[in-house]
Order: sequence, then structure tokens, then C-alpha cells
Amino acid sequence: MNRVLDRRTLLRGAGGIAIGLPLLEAMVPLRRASAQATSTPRFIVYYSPGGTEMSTWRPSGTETSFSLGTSLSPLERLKQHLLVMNGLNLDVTSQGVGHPHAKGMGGLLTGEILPAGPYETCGGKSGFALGRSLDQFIGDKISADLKFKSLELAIRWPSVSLFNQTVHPGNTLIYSAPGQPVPPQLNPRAVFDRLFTSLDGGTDAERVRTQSILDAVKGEYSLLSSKLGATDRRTLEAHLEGVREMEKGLTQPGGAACAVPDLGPELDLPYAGGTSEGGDGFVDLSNDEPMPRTGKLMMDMLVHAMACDLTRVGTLQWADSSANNTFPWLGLQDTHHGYQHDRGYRADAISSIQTWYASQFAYFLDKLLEVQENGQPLLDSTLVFWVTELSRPESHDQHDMPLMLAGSANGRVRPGRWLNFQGRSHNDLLVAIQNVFGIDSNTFGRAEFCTGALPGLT
Amino acid sequence: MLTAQRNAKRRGAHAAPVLTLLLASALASALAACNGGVSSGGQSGAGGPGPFSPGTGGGGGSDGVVQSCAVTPGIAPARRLTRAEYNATVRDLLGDTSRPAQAFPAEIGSTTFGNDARALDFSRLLMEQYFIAAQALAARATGDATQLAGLLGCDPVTVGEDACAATFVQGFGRRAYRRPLAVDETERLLGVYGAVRPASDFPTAIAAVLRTILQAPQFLYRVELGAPVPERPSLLKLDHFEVASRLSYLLWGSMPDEALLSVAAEQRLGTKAEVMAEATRMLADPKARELTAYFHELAFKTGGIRSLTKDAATFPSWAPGLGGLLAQETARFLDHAVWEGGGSLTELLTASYTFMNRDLATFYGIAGPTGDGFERVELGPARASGFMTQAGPLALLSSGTLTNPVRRGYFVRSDLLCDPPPPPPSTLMVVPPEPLPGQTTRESFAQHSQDSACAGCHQLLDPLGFAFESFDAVGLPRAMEQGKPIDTSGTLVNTDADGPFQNASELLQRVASTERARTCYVKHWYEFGYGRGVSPEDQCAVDTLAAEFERIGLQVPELILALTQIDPFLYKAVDP
Repeated sequence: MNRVLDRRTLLRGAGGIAIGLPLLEAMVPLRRASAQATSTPRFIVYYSPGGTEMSTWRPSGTETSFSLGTSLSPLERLKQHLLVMNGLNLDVTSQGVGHPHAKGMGGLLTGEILPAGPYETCGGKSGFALGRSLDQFIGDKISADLKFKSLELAIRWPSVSLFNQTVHPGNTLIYSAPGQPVPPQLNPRAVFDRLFTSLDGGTDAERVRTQSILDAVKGEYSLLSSKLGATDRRTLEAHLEGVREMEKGLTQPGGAACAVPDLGPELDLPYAGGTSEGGDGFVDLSNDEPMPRTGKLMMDMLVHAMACDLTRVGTLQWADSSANNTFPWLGLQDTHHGYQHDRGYRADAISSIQTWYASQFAYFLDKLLEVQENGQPLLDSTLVFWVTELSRPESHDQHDMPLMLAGSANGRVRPGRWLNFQGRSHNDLLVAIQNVFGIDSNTFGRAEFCTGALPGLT
Repeated sequence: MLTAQRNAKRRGAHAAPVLTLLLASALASALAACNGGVSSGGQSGAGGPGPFSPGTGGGGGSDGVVQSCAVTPGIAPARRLTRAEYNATVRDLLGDTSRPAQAFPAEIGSTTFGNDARALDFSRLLMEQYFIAAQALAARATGDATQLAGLLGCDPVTVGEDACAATFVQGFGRRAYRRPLAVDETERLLGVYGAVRPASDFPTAIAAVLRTILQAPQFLYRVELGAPVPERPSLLKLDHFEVASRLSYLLWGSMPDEALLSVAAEQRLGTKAEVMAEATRMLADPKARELTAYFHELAFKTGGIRSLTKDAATFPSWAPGLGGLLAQETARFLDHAVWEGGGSLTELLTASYTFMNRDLATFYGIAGPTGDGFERVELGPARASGFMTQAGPLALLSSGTLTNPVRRGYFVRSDLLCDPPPPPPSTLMVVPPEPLPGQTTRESFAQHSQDSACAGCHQLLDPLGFAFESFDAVGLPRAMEQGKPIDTSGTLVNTDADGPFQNASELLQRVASTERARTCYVKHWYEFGYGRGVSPEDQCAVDTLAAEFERIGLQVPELILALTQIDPFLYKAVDP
């Protein structure tokens, strides 16, 4: 059985040269000849908070001949890979309970509403979204046989705890089931170890030992749950299911010939994690300053994970809808939320922030372009979906959302265009994306917000 | 010193009721055929009180706390160890202080305390973290000969490896699962040992058993099977070991100690009186003080103080590391007030002393402490009123370089009075005003009281926050702003002790006298102790505890004990 190499046997490529970046074609693993492995597309979600100054985001020109807005200038040289969209509305937020920030987060990838619940959102008390997120459905379809069905990576998350709640509808994008948030990973070193080392140590002896242990553990959950009342039985069964999910990761071949990347000493430097204290406006520079470095590591590892076929679905989340982080490297002392409206809307600062997030998106696309797979860049077999939970931050507007796709999913999407819809529900975009990945339904999330697959992607 | 003794010293004439309560309970339980708080022949017909009738005894009342409504135990879901509890448990079980749960994903629950049993994450990521933590803990515990010997409790060389493995499973298993193991549990663990031993060595096989235990439901969850209650088919009574776990996690946030497990083995945790006796012993352990400090950090939201950063240009007195010292000041004050001072909620809110070391005294401009150690400092009632006039909480409830009276007022209204007004309409853009030249902060918020759309909610908040305007954005006292004297007067409304106040001290005294504040504090302890957000079915329990809290003079240690003296502590509803 193939094993993922453990840290002790870091490969350094032909001739002992360390694999820095860009990732060279020679290091991409030659997989077993399988049309499936090379033609299966990938899906990646990229989130940045709070919408933007739409006048500097919106392109100008025509569908096939356009210029990007000034706040997206880092992407101008890559626009042939982009499918920029205007005119989509987060209609799903017209129902449910909660502040637009929270309803937007909840509905973005689930197409579902937030119900009433116990989490204070500063616009009502909500529960978690009533749907499973799109990436999880796609993962089931295209990534279920890999080491990881999906990867959820976040930087500077949560940007603040709200009312002492670390995980809540305002910062949750990914749902494994209705009402069930998926925790993102925050620590680059831990992400690296999880991706490139084997949980059970990797040797046959350790593998056998682990199996004995996990068999006994699973046995305890099964036996005990049969003695319990309904509530506790469900709890233990859910836990048992989690253990089985973990086991799948142990038995899947994980990029056996994949070269483990050398990400340098930065992997172990302080990273931009989250703040579990503080409340609104609590500035935490020790978590803000490492954001650029942490983001690069996470993006690098997500690309490597895709290239190594460790997964085909991933999410990269920058902060959350509270957007309580500052940007000291941009000379912006106030929090992102502060510039959105806490101390008066600041279009200039918001545009600068957008430009920075665009430069990170450009870096990510460059990395996906550098990896060659069967004579084409990895980006060509990928679909990247840049999302945000508002359009206009100063008014919490959720019409004409600033959304875009990148890549072409093996020709199933035709980028290099600017599409203008006349007020379609974004649920229809989620339908179109699921169709790209071979999920044939013409609804997604809450059916009343669907009218059919959004046209124009191909 | 036992709580009862300390109380006797402090309260003189009031000492009697505490002891009477214990004696009456002991008598009552002897008479009630050893069924604890269940009254036999209860009225279950329509219109009668619920399954647990009000106390029938005189003097100290019936078993436990006097109940004037039906405190009906609900379904009590199995509680999984929180990150804090996991860390404390592996510390007590293995002597491991590495706090592995810091790497676990955060709890999902909606209460302040992160221990809501009804909101659990079952992600693969969490399971991997349990696996990794178990592996690391087992490696450390068996990696060195001395460690291993301490863990085993037997010598494999002398008694033979297999025999020692069996001894280990029984002895260590009992501590880890918090009760003696059943035969099938022992067999399963020895099965792991037997499967792993041939291809490895003794320490590795023992480590494999340990890894199994640390991921098992009996370790990670506090499963309560309970036993049927003959005269109450809808209820289950927790067994002695299950009660022991409830006690240790309530009072220590960790596993039972050997003494508690012995008491459980002797079946001496079946009545409220027995529970009270054990709880009293446990309250005197330093772990109870640690747990209470953790509770206050969550309930009063003071956790962020230690990482506070303030602009040194605007606040030259703010030295790096000050946040850590201020966090210590508030923590030491709360700890002292509860355990060595008067012990009451009133003291937490109105005491006129605090704790400082030399660096803090310099910051505050107070003479006195001269070293790195913290000393008690008397500030007088005009200057200080409990933890809310300390710089840490006030600096936290500010916005950078400006005070934030709305946030400060909201804290009092929401976290001290448990009466938060609804948030502003989501269509409203909330922009704190920049003070204009010559305008005080209070003046700049005038629209809140002048505009009828704002006033309804803001009259509940702003006046409370203005009371603290005599403290700036780093929590230091100030008398003037923009060349004008600061006006800290206002009126407390919407409580049972409404009225005027001149300053923060008077406000806090008024707040401390309200029934709302008492019930709010009790609610926090109930949510923390029972691992659930208060819902209508919990209201009777909260009201009962609040009445008891008042009866005992708002004594915090006694309140903690009272949490064990209501029926939901020993009973839970059947969950088919």
C-alpha cells in the first residue's frame, strides 16, 4: 500500500535540490495511468470579508473585452482566467433570522437560511445554516476516495469572538450537514503534518497497532451507545462516524510519490490564528501581523495538496464577517470592520484592502498556473470561487454581489469574460457550479430561491 | 478550613442555619427510606405540585434546598470534556501538564462557557486531534522507565507482564473511566494489549491500551446511565460514581480524586446530605479556587485583559506587559473576595480594595507596593467599587483611545443584570461619534437620549456607561474632559431597585442590591455548572437557587454548594 512519506524522509528532488517555489514540473507525481485522475477537476473556495467598494471593483467594457476595476488591478494580467460576475443577489438572506453579515455567511455556500437560535448576531439571535455547503457535495462526488474529501484552511479566524462564542453563524462558511459547522485549520505546521505525514506513523507495525486501537475504540462506542437513551445514542453514533471518517484518511493512498514540499522555517513561526477573547474592536496585532506569511503558507499547501492528489476540494478563508483584523503592513491601523462603517465608511481604505486580497488571489492563481499536469496548468482543471458575504459594506447590501470564478474545470467553464445578470439569485450560480462537477440537480439549497442553473458559464 | 467553619467565624449568629440544614437533611434522608430527595407518595395528579414536593421539614427545611416550585429534572445529555476539562483531566490522570487540548477545534456551544452538551462537533479534524493527543500522552507516560513504573502500579518483572497488564487495566482504567470497569471493558482493553504485545514490547503494548482508553467514550464523555426510580418511572437516579463525576467536574473541572472514588465505592453519594458533605470537602481544595477563577473569567469576560494593547503615544503610562498585570489584579481580587474576604457577590461589585504590585501602583499613581509581589491596597469607596472600577475591565470595555460608554453600559445591563436590550436594527449604521472639540464623550452621545428612535433602548445602557466616564480608555481615573468636569450621574431603570446614582460606586451598589443581579449571577453558575443554556424548563431551578442565594447572604461558595442540592443534580429524565 502506498504511504505518505513522513517528515523524516523529506524528498528534495532531483540532484538534491530543495523544492522551493515555484513547484517544478518534474516534482509533480506521475500517477498511475488513469484518465480519471488527470481529468477530474478541482474546486476551491476563496473567501474575503465584507464586500467592497463596488465602484472600484466593477469592470468596464464588454463581455469579452473588459478591464477590471482599479481595486482588482493585481488581477488585470490574469483576467483571461477570470469569469467576473455582476447582478447576482443573495436572495436567500431575505429570509431567516440574523444580521446580514451572518445570514450572508450562512447562505453563501449553502443557499440556505439561518433559523432562529441562540447565537447573538447583532441583528437577531440565529442558529447555524439549515443546509450542507456546496463544497461538501462536490467533495462527495469527486474527492471521496482521496486522503481528504476536502480541506478547510483559515487565516486570522475567528477575527473576534462575539459574545464569548468562538464558532458562530457569523464566521462559519462550511457545513458538513445542516446546522453542523466544519472547523477550519489555522496552524500551518499542523496543516503540513496532517497533509504530508501519516497519522498512524506510516510503518506497517504502527499501522497494525493503530488498527487494533481504533477497532477497540469503535467497539466501545457501538456497545455503549446501544445502552443509552435516544439523545446520547445519537451523540455516540455521530462520534463513531467521525472516527470512521478519520480512518478513511489512514487507508487512502496519499500521494505516495508526492514530494513533500520544503516550506522553510516560516512553517514554524508565529501564525495569524484567531482571537477567542475581546469582543468587537479588540485589536490583536500579534495575530494580524503574520497574516501575509500565514496566507502564503496556506495557499502553497493547498496547491501542493491538489497537485499531490491528497484532495480535490478546498476552502481558503481570510478572517470572517466580523472582519476585526487590522492591516499593519498596509499602514491601516483601524480594523477592516472599522473602515466598513464602525467609524464611518472609508472607500479608500476598503479599496486598498480589496487590492491586497486581490494580490493574494493573484498569487494563488499564479501557483495554480505553475503546476503542470499532463501538459496543462493545474488552474485549467480547477474552478476557484471567490466569495464574500456582502456587496456594499456601508449599507450591508447583498444585491449585485462581487463574485468571480477562475479557472476552467477542464473546459467546462469558459473564463476570460465579464457576465452581467439582471438580478438573479445566487442559488442559481451554486446550481450551475454543482452541474459543472457532475451533480445534475437543478436546485441547490432552498428551492424557492432557485430558478434553474445560471446560464453563461460555458 | 471547612466552609461551614469559616462561615461560623464570620457570620456568628448566622452559623446555625448552615449546620441545621445539614442535620435536618441527614434526618430526613434517614426517614425517607434512603431515596434522597424523592418524596414518597407524592401528588402526581393534575393540579398538584410536580414530582418533587416542597420541603416538609421545619428548621433547615427538607433535603437540600427549599423548593417552592417543581424543580423537575430534564433530559441531561452526556457531556463531553471541554478543552479545559480535557487538559485538567490528563493533568490529574497522568501528571501531564502539556495541555494538548489547546490544539483541538474550539467548542461550538452558544453559552459563554463553551460547555453546552447539546452542541458538539464531530468533525474528522477533532477525531484526529483526539488520536494525536492520545498518542503523544501515551508516549510520554510510557517513554521512560520511572514514568512507566508510576503508571503501572506493579512491576512486570516481578509479577509477570500479563499479570501486570491486567492490574494496570483495572487500576488505571478505574481512574480513567471514573468507575470500576465492567468485565467486557477489561477484556477489550486486554485484547488490545494482547494484539499489540507480540510484535512490539511491553511499554508499547501498555501505550496502546492507554491510547485506547483516552479515545474511548467512557473517558471523553460523562455518560450517565442512571438507575430506574421505582415510584417515578419518568426519572433515573444517577449512581454513586456518576454523582462523583458530577461533583468533581462541577467543583474542580476535572476527574474525581481517590477519596471521592472511595466514597462512591462505599455508596455514600446517594442523598443530598451525603453529596453536601463531600462537596464541602472538595470546595476546600485549591482546585475549586482555580475552577472558580476560570468561571469568573468567562462570566465577566475578563480573559482579554492579558492581551490588551494600547497606543503608547496617547497613553504614555501604558507599558508593555501591563495587560498581564491588570489581568492578575482582577483575578486576585475576585479570588480573594470569594475565598478569604466576605465571600459575597456584593463584595465582588462594591469592595473598596484591590491588589497591586509596584509596577501597577506606578501605573495607577498609588503609593504602597514596592516589589513584584501583589499586595492588598485599600482605595476607599469613593475610588473603588469592586472589579468594575479596576483598569483591566474598563480598558477592555473601551475602543482604542476612547472610552465606550455604550459597551460599558451594555456589560452592566447584559452580564451583571442579564437583561440585554435587543441589538440596533440591522439597517442602522452604528457609528460611534468622534468627540468634537470642547465636547465631552457624554455630550457627544446626546442623540441617543434626544432621538426617540434611540432613547427606548439607550436609556437602559448609556447612563450606566456614563457612570464610568470618570475612568479613561486605559481605566485610569479622570475628573475632567475637554476642560469640563465629568458628569457621572444618572438613573438606573428597569430593575427592582431603580433610582439615581452620582457615580460608578453608587451605581454598582444599586446594581448589587437588585434581585436581577442576584438571579443573573446564579444563572451564570447554573449554565456553567449544568452545561446548558437556561431555557423555560430551567427557570424553576434558577429561581430556587436564586432564592437560596439570597437566603444565605449572597455567599458565593455556598451558592456553588447549593448547585448540588437541587433535584437535577441527582436525577435526570428518562430519554427513550
